[in-house]
This record gives sequence, structure tokens and C-alpha cells, in this order.
Amino acid sequence: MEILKINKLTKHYGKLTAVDKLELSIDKGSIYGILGPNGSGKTTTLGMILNVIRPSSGSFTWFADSDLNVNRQKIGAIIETPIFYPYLSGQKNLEIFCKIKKIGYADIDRVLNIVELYERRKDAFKTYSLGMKQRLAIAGALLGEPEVLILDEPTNGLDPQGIAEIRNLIINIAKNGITIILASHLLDEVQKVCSHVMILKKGKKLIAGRVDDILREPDIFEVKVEETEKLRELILNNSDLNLIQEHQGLFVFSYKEHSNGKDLNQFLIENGLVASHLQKQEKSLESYFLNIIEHA
Amino acid sequence: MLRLLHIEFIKAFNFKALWYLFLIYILALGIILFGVETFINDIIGEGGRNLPITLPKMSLYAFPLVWHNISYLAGFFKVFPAIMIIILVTNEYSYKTIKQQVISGLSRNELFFAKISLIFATSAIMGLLVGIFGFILGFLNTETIVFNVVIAKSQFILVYMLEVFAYGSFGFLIATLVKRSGFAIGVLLLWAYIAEPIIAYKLLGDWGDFLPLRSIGNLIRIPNSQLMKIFGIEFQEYISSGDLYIALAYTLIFNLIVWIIYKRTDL
Repeated sequence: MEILKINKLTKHYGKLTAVDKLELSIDKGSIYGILGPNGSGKTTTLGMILNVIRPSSGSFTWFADSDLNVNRQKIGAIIETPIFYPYLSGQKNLEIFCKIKKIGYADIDRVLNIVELYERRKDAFKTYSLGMKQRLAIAGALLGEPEVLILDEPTNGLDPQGIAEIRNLIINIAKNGITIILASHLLDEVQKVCSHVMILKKGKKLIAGRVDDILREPDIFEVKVEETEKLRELILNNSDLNLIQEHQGLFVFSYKEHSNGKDLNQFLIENGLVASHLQKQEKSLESYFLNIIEHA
Repeated sequence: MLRLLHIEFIKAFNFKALWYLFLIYILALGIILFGVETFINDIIGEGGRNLPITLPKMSLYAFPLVWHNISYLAGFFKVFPAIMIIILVTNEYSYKTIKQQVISGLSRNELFFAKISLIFATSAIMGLLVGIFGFILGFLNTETIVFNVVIAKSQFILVYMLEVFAYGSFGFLIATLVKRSGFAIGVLLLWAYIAEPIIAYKLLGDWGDFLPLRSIGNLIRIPNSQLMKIFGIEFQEYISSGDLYIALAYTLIFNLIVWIIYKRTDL
């Protein structure tokens, strides 16, 4: 079942196009990552589908239904930093959420227990640590058992322990069948948490699909040969090889999945090339991602 | 609507600064209401000695005159509820909670009507308070209590509520345009006590009466006291429908502008 359908969604800020004719479809039960560097339009996109930012053009539909206000109660969301009334306690802040979502206060204890803030519920929000604030935000988003949870940079500004806590929380929440839309600039986060991903750059969709397909770890090799022209031609004409960089005779390119140096060497020899340097790159996922961002 | 009011109530009830403002308002109103009569009576007493006729000792606070007199005096303090509204509206911007409420599921209309319900409730509370003061002062200063006389002219309290509502709506507009509490309160005071009086002074004829705050203030005009009658001045002792229409029109315009802003802007 389709949870969200985005159709040519566009937002202009003066001359700047923050989001450019975005198309997206999210199915029920998926953990959908929106991945992109800062300023790529992630938050603007989430703002629009949450009715906070008015789209310049285009449209979106939740739950294949046109009435946004009815459906909003089924969506829990956190955008950027946790926002609450600092002088109110965690409990009182969540009471406001309950009133907004038209549900009883009974659900408050449940969500406070999930995020382990029950003991501190009577304390004012301003006395909470950043990690606790973020957890309260997640508690707020979980009120009323939403069908969709939208999280924007949920681990931003947290220490390693806080990051681990939040990620485990997200994975546990997803086990209950809630659809999650997660925006992040951290490749690692999306890879660890998400089932699907869309990569955004300057408001445009670069690529979208299953994380296994898109963020699979490609094998990237550095190769030096004497006959550079021949290698360049081979790389350009062979779909198994994707050139990432060529610098002073050193070719950096990706090769088939799960390949090793031996496979590549054999392939080169079969094509009449002898490598004077052949090395498999470590941490290739990051560079692969950067390559998508920079060259797409 | 009650749900929206409840949301506003949680925010307002637990906000300390608001309570201080409310206490100052009650204190200031009480001092003025209980103090003015003694003050005027003293003047009459002093002035009366040199007059050939003896002035009747008439209380400002006897039923039914009390309603007009008290709501007129309370009118000087309507800036307090307006400031309270400005604080509550601008809080949403400084805490960014206006955005969070939409994220949590409030529609733009609900966001707007929550604040309208807040202004309405504030006006009702202020009106009720002045009404209670009116009853106390009325019973203290009227020799024979007759029900019909007691409630005659009590419509002034209702009009006072409208006055607070209209003034609060003006505060709502300024708060929405300016977004920062200190700045918004500054703009309100500057407009109310300096800019508008100057413009009113510069305008020819009665056109000054059509300025927003002055026309709201005109709802309840200066009451006719016995003292004034001595000087031969006659004031309007009733609520004129013309004044009512102008004030209502302004209230509608203020809120309409805010509604359009709430509907259109990115949060």
C-alpha cells in the first residue's frame, strides 16, 4: 500500500530552487531514507509534506487520500531540533500534543516509557539534556500510535551514546510495522537503519530505490597501466566498470560486486592490459557516495 | 473550539509572567476603582464650599450608573490583556512551537482559531472581573437595591468585553507581524499612546475618531457625572450602534489580516 505519493513537488525561495520537481512514492512498512548533504532540500521536502512550508507547485497525497487534516493524526514527526515549551514539564508538553492529536492522556505514560523519560516527566523541559529533549520529541511523535513516523536528522548534535540509543529506538519502532521516513546527511546512518533511500542534491532526486541496490558496497580499484588510452576506452565501453577518477595515469573505478583483485587482474589481461599498479580501496562506500553527489 | 481553548489554557496557566501581569492588572484596577470615588468626592466637597447651592452627594458607583463608570475606568487598563495576548502569541514564534503544532497535526485554521479562543477567553475573564468589581461597588454604594435598577445598563460590561476583544485583536495583529514580544509590546505602546494621538490631533474634524484604537475606545464614552453636569457638559450615556459597527469592523479587519498570514506563510 502506498503511504505517500509526491508529485512534481517544487519550492522556490526567490531565485533559489530548494526542491525541484521531486517525485517520490513510499510504501507501507518501509524505512525510507532521504539522504543528501546539508542544503540539499531534505528539510524543505519534509516541511512541505507536513504542511509547514507551502509548496510553490506540485502536490503530495498521504494514504492515497486527499484530506490532509484528517490524515495528519496518523503522522508523527520531528523536524530538526526538538521544539517544546521550555517552562512546561515533559508531561504538560505531551498533554498539548494529545489535545492536538485528539487522543486521551493515557497514551503519555506508554510513550514516556518507550523513550525512558517517565521518571523525569514532571521536570521542566528546559532542565533536560539534549539527548533527553530528542527522546521527548520522539515520544511526542509516537503519541497516538501513528502509522508514519517522520524523523529529520534525529541524531544531530548527540554524543555517540545518544546516537546509538536513538538508532536502536528507531529500529525497534520499525519492528512494529510503522513506516518511517528518515532524513539524514549521514550515509552510515541511512545504511544502518533504512530499507529504501532517495539521494537528494540541490533539491533534485539523483537516485532512489532499495538501500541494498543503491548503497551496496561497490568494489573500487586503483589501477595504473602503460596503455592509458586503451584502459580509458575499456572503462567507458564496459558497463561493469564505472570511472570515478583519473589522475596522472592512475585510474580509480568501481568494478562488479564482490570482486577481488584477482578477478579484475584476469579481466584486464583478457583485454590485453597489464597493470603496473592494482589496489583495492578501503572505505569505498563513502567515496562512492561522494562520487554520486559530485558527479551526478 | 473547546479543545483549542484547552491547548491555550495549558500554555497560559503555567506561564508565570502572565500571572504577574494579571495580578498587576487586578491591583491597578482595584486601586483606581476604589480610589477614584473618594478623590472626586473630595473635589466636590472642596468645590462645594464656595458654591451658593449645595451639591448632592452622589456616588459614581450607585446602580445602575456604576456599570458605565466602572467599564469606562477599566477601559484605561485594556492594554494589560493586550500585552498578555502579545506575549502568548509571540512565545509561539520565539519557542518555534507554532511550527511544532502544525507538525503535530494542527491545521492552519485551528492554529488561528486557538488564538481567537484565547483572546475571547481573556476578554470574558476581564469582563467578569470588572463585573464582580461592579457588583461589589454597586452594593456598597446603593442605598436601596432594586433588581431592575441593578441590571439596567449592565450591557456596558458586555461592551467592555468587546472592547478588550478588539484591543486584544490589535495586539494579535502586531504580535503576528513583529513576532518578538518586547518589540511587539513596544510597537503597541508607541502606537496607542504616541503615534495615534498625534495623528488624531493632526487630522481635521472628527476623522480622528475613525482611527483604530480611538474608535475602539469610543465604544464606552466618558460617563456623565454629576460633576460634569455642573459644568454643563453632556456626554453620550449609551452605546451607539455607529461606534459598535466601527469597532466590529476593525476587529474583523485585524483578525482577517492575521488569518491570511497564518494561512499563507511558511513556518
